[in-house]
Amino acid sequence: MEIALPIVNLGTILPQLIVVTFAVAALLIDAFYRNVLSVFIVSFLGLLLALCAVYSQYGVAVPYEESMVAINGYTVFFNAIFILVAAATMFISLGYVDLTGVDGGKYYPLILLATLGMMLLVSSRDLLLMFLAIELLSVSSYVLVASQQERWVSNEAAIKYMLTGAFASAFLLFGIALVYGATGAIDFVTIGRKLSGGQALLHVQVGIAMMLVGLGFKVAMVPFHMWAPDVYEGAPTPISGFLSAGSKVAVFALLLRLFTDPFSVPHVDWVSALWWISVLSMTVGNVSALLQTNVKRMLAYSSIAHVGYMLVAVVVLGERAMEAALLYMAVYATTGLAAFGCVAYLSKGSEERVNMQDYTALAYSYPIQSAVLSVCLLSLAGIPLTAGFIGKFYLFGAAVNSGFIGLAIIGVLNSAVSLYYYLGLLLRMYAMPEGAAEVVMSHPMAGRLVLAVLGITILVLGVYPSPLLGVIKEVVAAIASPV
Amino acid sequence: MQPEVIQSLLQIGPTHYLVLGATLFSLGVLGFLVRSNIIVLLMCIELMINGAGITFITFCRQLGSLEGQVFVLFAMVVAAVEIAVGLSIVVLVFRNRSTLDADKMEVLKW
Repeated sequence: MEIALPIVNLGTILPQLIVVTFAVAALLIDAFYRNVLSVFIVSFLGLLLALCAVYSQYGVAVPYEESMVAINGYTVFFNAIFILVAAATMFISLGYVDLTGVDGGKYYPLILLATLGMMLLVSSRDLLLMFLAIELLSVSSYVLVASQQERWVSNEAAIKYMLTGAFASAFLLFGIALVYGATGAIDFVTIGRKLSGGQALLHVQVGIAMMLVGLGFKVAMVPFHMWAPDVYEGAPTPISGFLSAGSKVAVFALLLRLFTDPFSVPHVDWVSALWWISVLSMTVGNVSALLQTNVKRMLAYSSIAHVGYMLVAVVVLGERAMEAALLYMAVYATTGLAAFGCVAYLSKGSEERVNMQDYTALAYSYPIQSAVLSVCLLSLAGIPLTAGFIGKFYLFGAAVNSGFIGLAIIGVLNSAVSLYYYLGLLLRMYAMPEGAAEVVMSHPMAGRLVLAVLGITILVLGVYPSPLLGVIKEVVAAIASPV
Repeated sequence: MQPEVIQSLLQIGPTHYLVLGATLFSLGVLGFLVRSNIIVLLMCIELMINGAGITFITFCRQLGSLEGQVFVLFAMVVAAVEIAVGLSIVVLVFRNRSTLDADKMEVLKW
């Protein structure tokens, strides 16, 4: 008897294969040689090769029908972002890992594995791969958050993250079961086709609701955001940046795809719910951030507010909103990572600098970090000449264009509120020093360089966004044509 | 009640399994929200995942497709992974604080 083997094209999953191979290799090196530097180099090499592989896929199209892992502009765009975020996180972690007693030998490979989860997440074409990718991402993140074993806040953050994360996954799983039961399929194309005919059944709606709860926990949108400030505060600072820039953006990219592709028809029933979630996330995030005295916590609440802004795109949908969302996510990934990176690079020895008071007159001791952090804060607030402004401009422009004027107005008002706490920190850093200047800690050059590059990127994108916009327009045009 | 209704209630069909799955899941949610011992919370999450699994298998038999069964196998593996990582974090927490009470985790709060 002849058994027909399925034709598998390894070229399709080449970037993912490279990442997993190098992650395992790095773990083995750690097990046998215990040399953190070589683990770092191998992990970084893996990311570099994976980036080349992703670049070689630019312009290639493998549709969802043909392969479990699709390639299109959307996946290439996000895979490139995730790899860059992971690489930047590794560099930012360089000095931090040595100072705070993190076991670097497991830390760097776990970043690679989490990145693999993100890459598979945006490339998945069915609910099974989606679920596994989310779990790979989450489980690696739990361990990364717990990686400062001796510090109690890190342990507490990890246990809270793990419990809420697993709770959310169970909701996601039950939601998937209901959608599967109603449509009889787990791949997005068939689900979309089944749902496009007529009224959606009750259990489809309940299933989508439960999936939304599960994914809502993962992206930390209100009312499922309670874990985020605790986790971002307790986690090692580069990991807080990685979570907000990487895993949040990854799950959000998936959410956007779910509602544009398989759930485009039930989306109509969800517009008002998503509208409220978006408005609540913005408002609760910004108002809570106003009251914080801890910088990491403030940035965590600000990231909840930014989820609210990004959700505007999911409410509006359509080609323009999609373009705006991709731009916003790229900008947010850069800014969020750089902001947390600066906080990591402003540490006092093994102590983190998290109190607002400790930021007074810092600009005179740490000019580079303070300058980059200022650029990030201005960009998060959406001040013109920074990337954040361009992102918000396109996002709210898309909302107004589709008739969601109220949503755009609330968004702009929220940005105005957020100015208060962003500028408060900024002014504090550039306040006149009182008394003797503090002894300056030296931080690794490579990390500072990466931070400077991120800061310059934010400025350049703010002044001259057309190259990135051109790429995004191309990507959206390519996937907007019927799948 | 009419005899036919009683008859259909006594005859075990898909509905019974779906109700069982949903009940298990709800019990898990309830336990997660009410209890405070971390180990019990992890057990409640297991309960929720198993509830989802039963729902999957029921739909899978009803639809005659295999994807649901494959999904359940993967979900079981994922549950095991989550528990493994979860328990190792629990050990870490217990070593530093000698408590497993989730209500005592309150250093991080606003």
